[in-house]
Amino acid sequence: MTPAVRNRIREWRVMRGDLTQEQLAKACDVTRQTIIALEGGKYSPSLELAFKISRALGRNLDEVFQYAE
Amino acid sequence: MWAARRQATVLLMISVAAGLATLFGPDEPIGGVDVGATGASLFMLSLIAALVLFARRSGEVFPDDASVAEQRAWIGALFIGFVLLDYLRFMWALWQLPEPPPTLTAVYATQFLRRLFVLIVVWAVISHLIGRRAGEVETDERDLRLQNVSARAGDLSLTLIIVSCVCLLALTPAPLLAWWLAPIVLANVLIGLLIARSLVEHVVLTMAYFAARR
Repeated sequence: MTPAVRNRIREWRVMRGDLTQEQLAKACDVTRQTIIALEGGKYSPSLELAFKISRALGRNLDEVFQYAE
Repeated sequence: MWAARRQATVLLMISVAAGLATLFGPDEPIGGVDVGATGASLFMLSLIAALVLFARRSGEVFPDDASVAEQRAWIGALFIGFVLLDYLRFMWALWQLPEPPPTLTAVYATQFLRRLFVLIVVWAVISHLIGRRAGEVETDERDLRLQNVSARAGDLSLTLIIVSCVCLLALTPAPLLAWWLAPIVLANVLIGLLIARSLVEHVVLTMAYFAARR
């Protein structure tokens, strides 16, 4: 089942150029596997994790996550 | 040098074969070889080898994209599988007795508890070794969500098994019922329910992780 929350984590991470999945995972206190699952669209994060990821990427929440109707 | 994953696969095959030989091997020696004793020795050796492997190369045994929690789930499923096999063998031995033993000590002073103890200790040590990579988050919200799903599956299986047991008890003839309701048998059946629930939980968890990685 596709999560209702879509994200642009990979896009913003690659755009930054200096942030690996491992580093992002460490910054957000999650495993690298969770970042992989998020980027692959296989997992919807909690609100807290969504805020953490947005902050780590230096973006607003709605720039990184979108709710798909 | 062999890759750690290949070593783990070989160890797994040896331990499963040795475990089955120990529990279900014939009582009579085959060609002068005591299958049960040989299997038990091989099983212990494979457990020790697994400990050494995980102590030295725990980061190389599982695929790189498997989290610590997933690795622990796989190890848990494997060891609970061994415990369940051992338990079934023990219950079979109990079933062979003309009547259930009267006291706990009479039954529990067997190899079953010793094997159970060894399995649990090795399981705990390997789980610890898996999580010792410095600075790595071991469990996060995704792991907890998957564990929640598997725990619910375990609860559902326990409910179904209990309902099945109730139906079986209702349909069992009175003479046989007396055997099943002996305190020592009943206690072991309850332990069996917990083992079965735990196995379902771990298998569902490993499947959930496996599906999430595909």
